[in-house]
Amino acid sequence: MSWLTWPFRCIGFFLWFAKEMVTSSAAVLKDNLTPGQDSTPGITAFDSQCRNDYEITLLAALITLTPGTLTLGLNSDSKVSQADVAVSSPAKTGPLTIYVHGLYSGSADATREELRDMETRMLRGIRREGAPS
Amino acid sequence: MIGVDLGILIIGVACLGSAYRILRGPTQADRAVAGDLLLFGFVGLIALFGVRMANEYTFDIVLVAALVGFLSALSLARALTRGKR
Amino acid sequence: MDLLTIIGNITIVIGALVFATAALGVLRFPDAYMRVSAVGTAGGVGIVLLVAGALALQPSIPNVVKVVLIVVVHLASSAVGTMAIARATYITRTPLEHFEFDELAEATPETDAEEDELSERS
Repeated sequence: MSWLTWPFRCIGFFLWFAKEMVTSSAAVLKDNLTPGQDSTPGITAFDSQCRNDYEITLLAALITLTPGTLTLGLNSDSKVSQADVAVSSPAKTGPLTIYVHGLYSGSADATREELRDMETRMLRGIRREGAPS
Repeated sequence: MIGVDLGILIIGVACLGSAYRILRGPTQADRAVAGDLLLFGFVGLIALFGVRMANEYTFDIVLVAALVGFLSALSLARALTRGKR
Repeated sequence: MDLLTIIGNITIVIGALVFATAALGVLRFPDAYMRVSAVGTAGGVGIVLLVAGALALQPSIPNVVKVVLIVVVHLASSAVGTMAIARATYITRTPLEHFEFDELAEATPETDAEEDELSERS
């Protein structure tokens, strides 16, 4: 039943992401134009809930597209193997970890909070069966 | 068309700024990042020049530039790590 | 001078100002990672504004299709390129200026040998 609402969720996520891009760009531009630095940069390890390469690639690209957050790398030992994708089971090797360079969050936990929000919205938008539990 | 002329001027200054960072950059990574901005500036300049000269193929050229542009970023990254992955 | 021309000109000037601000950020920000963020504003919002303004100056149905294609292709490819540059930046051990926290440094012991070899060769 939930696949009926899938196109609307997809469009809704697209609009939310466009708004997010504009607001975060405005934050970077404002920091840029005002004298001095008010940024608190740092690198955060983020355990994602993505199940396959498609979702993790999309998430990393969206994080990079938002100015102020930047994907630096993926944890390579827990990468989803082709066999997992073939049987379409959840990854048995543990969560995929993305390393994100954030500018304006203040602490690693605050960055993780924002990324979790974005990831939940993305998965709700692109998975036909809805958000992860 | 005054806005297009002004835009060409402003983006030209921005390209000069990133060229200064390429020449000056304390590390190799700074040069690569400024090269990325220079690429974006040129894509924008192509669009603006096409509109300025009322060329009907403007958007085709910008589309090709956007398609092949990321190859420059990838090769900058490869050059930065000296061929290592 | 119709309305669409005025809108196009204003949009183009705003996009060019975003570019100028990104170039200022590349000159001002203290380390390479923050400069990547400054470039991200130009590569995302700046290009979209410029191309949308150019579309308003040359409006037609095929051009609308091409502009949508340009925006999608450009956002996807610039994200990939920016990630490649950011990863190469970290691998070559470009220093982080005044960072507050770094959870990648203690999490990657297995790439140390490769990085050492890399920094010896450079």
